[in-house]
Amino acid sequence: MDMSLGAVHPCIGRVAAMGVDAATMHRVLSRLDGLLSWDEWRDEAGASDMAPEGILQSDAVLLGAELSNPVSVAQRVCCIDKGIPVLILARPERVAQLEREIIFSPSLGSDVRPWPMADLDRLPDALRVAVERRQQRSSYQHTIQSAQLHLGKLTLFQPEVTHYLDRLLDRLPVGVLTVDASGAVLSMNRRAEAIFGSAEREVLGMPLRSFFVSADHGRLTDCLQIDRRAEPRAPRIFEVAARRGESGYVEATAAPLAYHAGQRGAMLILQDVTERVRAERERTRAEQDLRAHVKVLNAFHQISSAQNLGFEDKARHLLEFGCRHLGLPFGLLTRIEGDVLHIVDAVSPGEAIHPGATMDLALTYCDQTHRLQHPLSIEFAGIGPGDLRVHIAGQRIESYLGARVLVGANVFGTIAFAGNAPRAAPFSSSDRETMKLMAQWIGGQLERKRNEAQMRILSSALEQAADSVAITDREGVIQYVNRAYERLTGYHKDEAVGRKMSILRSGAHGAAFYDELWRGIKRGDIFRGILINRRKDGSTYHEDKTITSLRGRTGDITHFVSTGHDVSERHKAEEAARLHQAEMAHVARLSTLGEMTSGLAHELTQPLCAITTYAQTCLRIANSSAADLGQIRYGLDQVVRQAELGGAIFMRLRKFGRKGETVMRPTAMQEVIREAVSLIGADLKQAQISLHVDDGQWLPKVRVDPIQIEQVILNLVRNSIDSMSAVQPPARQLFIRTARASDGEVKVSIVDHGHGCPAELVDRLFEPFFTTKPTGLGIGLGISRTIIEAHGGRLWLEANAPHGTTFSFTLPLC
Amino acid sequence: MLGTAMMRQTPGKPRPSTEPTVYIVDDNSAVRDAIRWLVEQVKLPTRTFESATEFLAAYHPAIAGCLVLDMRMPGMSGLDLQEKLLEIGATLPIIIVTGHGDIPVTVRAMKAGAFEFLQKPFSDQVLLDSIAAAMRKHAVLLERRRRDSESGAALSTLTSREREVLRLLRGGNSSKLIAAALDISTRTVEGHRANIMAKLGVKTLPQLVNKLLPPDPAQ
Repeated sequence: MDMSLGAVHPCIGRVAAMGVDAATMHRVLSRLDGLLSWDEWRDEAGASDMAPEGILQSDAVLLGAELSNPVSVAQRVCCIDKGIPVLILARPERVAQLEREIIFSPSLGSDVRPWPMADLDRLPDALRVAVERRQQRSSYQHTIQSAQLHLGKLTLFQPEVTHYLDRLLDRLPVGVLTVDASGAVLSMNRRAEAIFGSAEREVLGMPLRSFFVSADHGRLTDCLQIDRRAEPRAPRIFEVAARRGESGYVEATAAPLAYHAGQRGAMLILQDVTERVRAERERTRAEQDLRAHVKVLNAFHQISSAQNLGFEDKARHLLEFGCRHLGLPFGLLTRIEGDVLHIVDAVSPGEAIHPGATMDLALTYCDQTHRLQHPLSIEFAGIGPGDLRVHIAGQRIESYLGARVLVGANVFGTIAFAGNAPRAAPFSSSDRETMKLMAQWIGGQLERKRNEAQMRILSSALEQAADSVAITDREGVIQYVNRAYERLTGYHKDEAVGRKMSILRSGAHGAAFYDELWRGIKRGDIFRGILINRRKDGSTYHEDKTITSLRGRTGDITHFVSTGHDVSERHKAEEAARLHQAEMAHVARLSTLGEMTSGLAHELTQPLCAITTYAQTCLRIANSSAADLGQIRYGLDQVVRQAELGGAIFMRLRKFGRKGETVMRPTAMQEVIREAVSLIGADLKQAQISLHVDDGQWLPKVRVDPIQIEQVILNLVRNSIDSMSAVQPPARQLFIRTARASDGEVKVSIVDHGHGCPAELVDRLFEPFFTTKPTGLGIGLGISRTIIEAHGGRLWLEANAPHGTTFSFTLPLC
Repeated sequence: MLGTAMMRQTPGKPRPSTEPTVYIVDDNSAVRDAIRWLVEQVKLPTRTFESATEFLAAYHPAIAGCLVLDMRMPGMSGLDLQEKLLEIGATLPIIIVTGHGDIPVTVRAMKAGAFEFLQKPFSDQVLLDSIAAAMRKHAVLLERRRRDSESGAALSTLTSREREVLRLLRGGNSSKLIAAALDISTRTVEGHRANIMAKLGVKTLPQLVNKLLPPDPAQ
C-alpha cells in the first residue's frame, strides 16, 4: 500500500477538505503523493457558500475534527449531491456518538461515515477508495442516462445519432440489453448477441426469460423489478438456456429505464461468466465427489480391516455396503470357470440368488467385465446398443457396475452390482474407483489365501519330507530344521536352531574341503556330494547332500538350504559291490591265467631253454683242454640275463593273479598295454598273429587300477585271437589303438581281422557265463565291462563285420 | 617290442655256399644265440634267422648242412616252413625244437620228414649229435645227387642207337644177342659199346653197371 502511494501517479480525483488542521492535512497530503488534488474550504461559512458546482466537481469530502457541527455540514453537502462520500474526522471518544447522529440524520447519503483521528495512516487509502467508488458510480449513472437519452429521444428523431450510439454500444466489451416493462427484449448489442447466441432481429419482442433456464425465471423477474430510486443492486448470475451447443452463465446488473411515453423498462448489463461459473461448479462437484469418496473409503476400510471377521464375512459386508452405496439391489461376487459363472456370494432382494448357483457366462454382463481392465458400467441397458438382455432372478437388469477380480495375473471372476431400474445419473468416477478398489482388495485377499494355503502345504511337505532339510543364514547358522533332520542327526530342533551347520562335522573331510564347499556355495554354486557327518550320539553316517543358496530381493545370497538323506546303507552296499567286483575280477583273472597256461609255459620255456643251453655250453668250454674264460663269462652273462627275464615273467604272473583291493593310481595307458601284451605274447605267437600297437602318440595318464585294465585288454585280445583262428595266418592281424577322446577320456580299441561276431549273439555278448567257446567261463566280456564301468568308462562293441571286430573302451583322464 | 621284433626284417641273400652250415631259425634271440654259441664250440659254421620268412628269402637249393627250426613262431610257423621246403624239393634235414611238443604237431612234423624232434630245454649233447647226424646224412645225399647228375649229363650225349644198345646191355644181353635183336652185326654192337663206355667214362662193364644203378641205401 505504501509503495503504491509512494510512487508518483497521475491525479485521479479531487477531495474537498474543511476544518482540517494543518498537521493532519500535511500528513495526509504527503502520503497521497499527488494522487488526489486538494480543495480547501476554510470554515463553515465557506461551506455555506459553496457552490453546487464545487461540490459536484469534488469526488469526496473530508471534514475536520474541529468543526463544531460536522453532521450539519455533511447534510448540506448531501443536499447537493447525495452520492458523494463524506468522511468526518473525529476524536476516538466521539466516533460512536457521531455514528449515532449519522444514522438518525435522514437527509444524509449512504456514504457518510466517521473516521477516527487515531487511524490517520489508513485515511489516504480510504479517501482513494471513496474517490474511486464515487467515480464508478457516476460513470454508471452517466452511461444509463445517456442510454436513456438515446432510447427515449434520439431513436425517434435523430437516426444518425442512434446509429452512431448503436455502433458505440456494439463495441462495448459487456453485453447491453434493454427490455420493456413486460420483460420483452427491445434491443441488444453485439456482445449480448454473442452471449445468447442469437441475432438482435430474431429476438426483438421475445420475452427475456426465454433465454434463461426455467429455474432462473423467478429470480430474473425479481431482478427486473427495479425502482429508479432504488440503490443499484449487486450483479446476479443467471444460467442461459442452451440454444446452440452448451448452456452458459451471465452476470447481469439491471438498471431502470424510462421512456418518453412513460413506459418503464430496464437495461441489463451482461457479462459472460460461463468459464468462471463452470470452474467454480467443477470445483464444488470435485469437492463433493472427494468428500463422498472419502466417506466410501472409510466405510470400505472399516469393513476390510475388521479384526473379528473372516474373508467370507468381509466380502459379504462389502457386497451389502456396495448395494447400499450404489443404491442397487443386487450384489454379486462370482468365479469364472470356462463358460460358467459361479456365484460365490450374493446379496439380492429376498435372497433370490444363492451362493453356489451357476449361470451361463455368455448371458451375463460379467462376460464383458472380466475381459476389461476397468470397471464396466451400464446406466440404462434398455437404450444400449447390445441385443443382450440380461435377467437376474427373473428381473431384467438395466443398471450395472462390475469389475473383474484378478488373482495374481489370472482372472478369478467379477464383483458386480446391478439393478432392474435405469439409473438417473451416470455412475461417478468415485463409484468406479470404489469398484476397482473392491475388486483389487478381494483379488488380493484371494491371492493371500491361496498363497497361505500353498505355504501351509509347502511347509507341511517340508516338515514331512523324507529328506533332511536345514535352512541357514549366510553364516551357516541354522534357522530351521525339519523332522527328518532331527531323526537323521539326533539333534532336536531346539538344539540345532541357532547353532552352526558345522556341529555335524565328523572330521572325515579336511578344513580345505569345507573351505572349498563354502567358497562354492557363497558364489551361488550348488553343492552336491556325499558328506560323512557325525550324529549327536557320535556315530557317523554318509549323507547325500545338496546345498543351494537363496537370494533376497536385491540378489544377494541370504540363506542356504541344505537337503540330504542318509546313504550309509547305499554306501555300504557300494563298498560291498566294489569288493565283490574286485573278487569277481580276481576270479576271472585266475580263470584267464588257467586258460593261458600253454602260452605262458612257452613264454617261460624260452629263457629256461636259453639258460640251459648257455650253461651247458659253459660247462663244455670249461671241460675242454683250452678253457677260454672270456667265453665262459659271456655264457654266464647270458644265463643271468635270461634268468632275470624269466623272473620278470613270474613277477608279472604273480601280480596279475594276486587277489587284492582295487588300487587306483595315475597310469600311462601304454604301460598297461605293454604289460598285457607281454602276458599274451606267447599266445599271439602260437596263433601266428601279428600285433600292431600304437605307441607313437603321447597320452595323458588315466586314473585306474592297472591290473584290472590289463585284465580287460587281455580278455579282448584273447577274444580276438580266438576269432581269427579261422582266417589264414598272413591275414591274422591285431591292432591295439589308443587315442584321446574329445571329452577328457582316453579311448582304447582292440581291432582284429577275425570272423566277427554272429549278429544273433551280439546282444548277449556281455552276459555273464555266455560264451561261444568250448573252454572258458564266459565271464570275460561281462567282467571287463563291469571293470571299465567301475572306472567311470564305457566298453562296447564298436564295429562288427565279417572280416573283423572292434571292441573299444574309454577311461577318464586323471 | 614284440611287434617291432616281428616286423624287423634283415634279409640279405646269402651267397650260395656249399660249405655245410648249421642254419638256426628261432624268433627268440636268446635261444637263437645260445644254440649258435653251442654249435660254434664244435667248429661248425652257423647262420641264424629270426623268422621263417627270413630264412626262405635266403634259401638256395645248393646250400648244405642242417636246419635247427623253432616250431612256434609268429607269422610263418616252423611247420609251415617245413612244408614249404618239402614243396620246393629242399633236402636240408630239419631238426625241430619246440617249447612244448603236443602230439598232433609232433606227428605232423615227423610225417613231413623231420630229421629230429627235440623239446626245449634240450641237452647240448643230444642237439650236437643230432646236428652231426643230420649233416652227415645230407652230405651223402648231396654226393649221390652229384653223381646222378654227372651220369645223367653223360647219358644225354648218347645217340639213339647207342641208347638202345645201352638199354639192352643193362638187360644183361650179350653183344651177339643185341646184334640179333637190333638186326645189326656184332661188330657194330661192339663199336657202339666202345662209344658208350668212352662217353660215360668207364672202362669195364661192372663200372658201367655201377654207374647206372641207384645209390645204395646201406651206404
